[in-house]
Amino acid sequence: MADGPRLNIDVDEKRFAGSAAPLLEDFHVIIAPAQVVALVGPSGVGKSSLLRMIAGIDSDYSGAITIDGEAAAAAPPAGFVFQDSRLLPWLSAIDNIRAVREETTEAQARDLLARVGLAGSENAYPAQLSGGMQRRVALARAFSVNPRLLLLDEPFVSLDAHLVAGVQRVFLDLVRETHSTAIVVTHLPDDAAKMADRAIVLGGRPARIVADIELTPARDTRSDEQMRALALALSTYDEAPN
Amino acid sequence: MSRFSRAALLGFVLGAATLLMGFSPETLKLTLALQGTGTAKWEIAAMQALGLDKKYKLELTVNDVADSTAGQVALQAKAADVVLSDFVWVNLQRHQGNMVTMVPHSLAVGGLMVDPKAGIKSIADLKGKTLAVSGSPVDKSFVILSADYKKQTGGNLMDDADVKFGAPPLVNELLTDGKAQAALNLWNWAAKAKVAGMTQLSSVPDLLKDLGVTETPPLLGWTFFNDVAKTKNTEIVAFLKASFETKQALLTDDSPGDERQGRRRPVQAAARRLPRRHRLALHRLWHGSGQAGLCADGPVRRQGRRWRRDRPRRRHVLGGIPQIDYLPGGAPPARIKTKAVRRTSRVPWELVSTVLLLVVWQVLAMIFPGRLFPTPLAVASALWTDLVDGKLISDMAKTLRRAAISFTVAMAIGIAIGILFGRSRIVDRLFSSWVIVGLNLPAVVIAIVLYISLGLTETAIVLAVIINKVPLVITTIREGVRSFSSDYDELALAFRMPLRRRLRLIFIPQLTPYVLAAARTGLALIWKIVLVFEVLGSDGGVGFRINTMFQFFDMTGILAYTTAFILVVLVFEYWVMRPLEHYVLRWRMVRA
Repeated sequence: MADGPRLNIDVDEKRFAGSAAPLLEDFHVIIAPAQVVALVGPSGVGKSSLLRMIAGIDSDYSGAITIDGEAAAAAPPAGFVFQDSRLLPWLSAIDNIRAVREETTEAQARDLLARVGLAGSENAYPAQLSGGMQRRVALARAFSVNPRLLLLDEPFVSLDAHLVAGVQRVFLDLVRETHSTAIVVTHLPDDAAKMADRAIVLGGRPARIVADIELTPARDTRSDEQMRALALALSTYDEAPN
Repeated sequence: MSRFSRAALLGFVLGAATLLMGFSPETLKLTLALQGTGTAKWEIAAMQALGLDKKYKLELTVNDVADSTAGQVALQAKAADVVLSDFVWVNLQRHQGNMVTMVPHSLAVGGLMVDPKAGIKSIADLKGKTLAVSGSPVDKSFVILSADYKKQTGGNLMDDADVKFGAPPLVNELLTDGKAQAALNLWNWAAKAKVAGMTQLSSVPDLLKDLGVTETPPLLGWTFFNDVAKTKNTEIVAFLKASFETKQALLTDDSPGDERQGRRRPVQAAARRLPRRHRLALHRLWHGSGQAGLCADGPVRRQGRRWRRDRPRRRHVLGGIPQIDYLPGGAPPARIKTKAVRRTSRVPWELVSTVLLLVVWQVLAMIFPGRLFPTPLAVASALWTDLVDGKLISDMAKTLRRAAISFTVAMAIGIAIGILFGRSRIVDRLFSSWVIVGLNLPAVVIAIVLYISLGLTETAIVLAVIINKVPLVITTIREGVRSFSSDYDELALAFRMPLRRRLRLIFIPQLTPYVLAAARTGLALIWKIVLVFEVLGSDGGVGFRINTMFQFFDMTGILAYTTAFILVVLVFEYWVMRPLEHYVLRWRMVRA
């Protein structure tokens, strides 16, 4: 499978109406194809806003964000995973996957659900699924839309630790298979250390890049001890005064 | 004076005082319920102006009622001692075993007014025409007209013509606006129609002559229950004396009621034309028999007090003439067979509850038997009779059709406007006060305004229901749209969902619970409003029929119709609404 797209983020200014200081100013980042980037930083720094701008949800900013050279709003939609699972409660798991992309066949949706470990739960409504299962459906939905570009906005909040580990494993397996370009917004250095190839630590107002770190060794080869060390290193940036 | 003489004198004085007090003139109190705009009120005004009420020591309490029907209801409810009623109602009451007595008051009645352009030359020409009638199908004039029509054509006027029933002003509106070609109205309204260019085809006395009734019967009379005639004999006799003396004064003296000049002629004419035998009846009443009714003669057989009340079956007072279908009040059956309900976990408790209610009802009706408290078995019997022989199905069909049209249109309009209100703050702020006005506008006001504007038409009744219902739908839908989750909008944006898909998969599912809520509350409202509007004026339907029964305090018939209506509503609830709700909201009913 071809690698995910290259992202070029050039935001001159992003400001919310009525806000004294801009959220982002002269913010420039290039994300390489098939790279998993963790956006790390405290709450309110602008991580989720940046993700929405990349997804084309928010186009109220000056500057340009391109995906393989194409403007973000005009590019094929990214596979987006929200903080909550955001499944439509009136649709079954399989219908939730098919709802967001008309071309997805039933067989494809079943296959995706099987890949996230939900074979047999196709016809279950969200209310019948546990929190972890709902996140996995959301992940499958994101992959069904665009497996090449994934945008995950704090996808593991309010989940138990064992559920987080399960969903992370599913995510990493899929990314490995599809060579996706992925941006994971998280406030937890542990998540970044486990999942990402690169971590961009944001801080301040307007948000600036506090640290941009290539996480080595490669994520598939990291031991638990190496992950803990990377998390510790990231947390020092995260906790540093901006 | 000796001690004995003083004691005797004192005893004499005290005894005389006691006797004098005992025979001292007391006021004779009587309560009347009279139509505020009727001629009877004018007579009472004249009576008071002449001081005749004082002459007979009468203290009259006159309660204004909307129409003669309300007066009849007041009489049956014992809220009035005397009312003014027509002979048809009195006959039917006596036929039902309710001994009321009528003493002639007036021969002044209305007539059949026609539009000269309609080409109606005889009663037979009413076929295929729209006939507006003041009152209800059991009003004397309509009964007489129907009888004459049947005699002339062999047909049923109610079936052959498009008959609209309503209040006298509305009837006149229909005629003068060209929405009806003929109108049967009260004399004063008929006179107004004449001024507007209409012509009188026939008067009610003419119709009676055509039917072979040579002597004009008193069509309106002072009406009271026989037991009241016994307990308040002095009062009623005094009142009737005052009434006839007033009539006599009106015939001979121009002084009273000058300000009402022009309005007293019908009363004068009535007094002049009172038949002798009715005066004789009055004479018998004055002498205390209390039985001197004159209402049971004429075309209706007199049953007296030997009325068979224990055989509920349909009785037509006047064969072939549209009239109230009623069942005589029946004594409760001696025994009720009920099946014991086994208490098991599989018992449908809703059904048990219904059976229990029926048993309690039956037992209470047996303990307190009476015409106004029929047994469920009597109601069931009446229901079956109405279903097989009566107009229940056609009435129900009319009501359901009105409800269905109103419901569909109101929901469509309400949902569209509600969405607009929910989505646009400007529209909401601009027009939300209109919705509040609509929500609080009394339903009856809307109905009356529309009846006046559009006449007693199907459009008016349907439109009235729609106008009542739409604000409620708007409010419910608006709140629903406001509560939509912006998260789902964001989801649709993130995945670039096309508009149609967004509407189908995100918008409509969020709206559906509110639509169902609006439908459910709306249906509950519409059922009721349609019935109320049918009572106010229509040419059929459940409300119309219940109103007709209401005039006779036909509780069994009312409960039979009500039961049938409730059954239809329950069928709709359990066979349509609940399955629909269960299907559409099935995702809400599942749990992990």
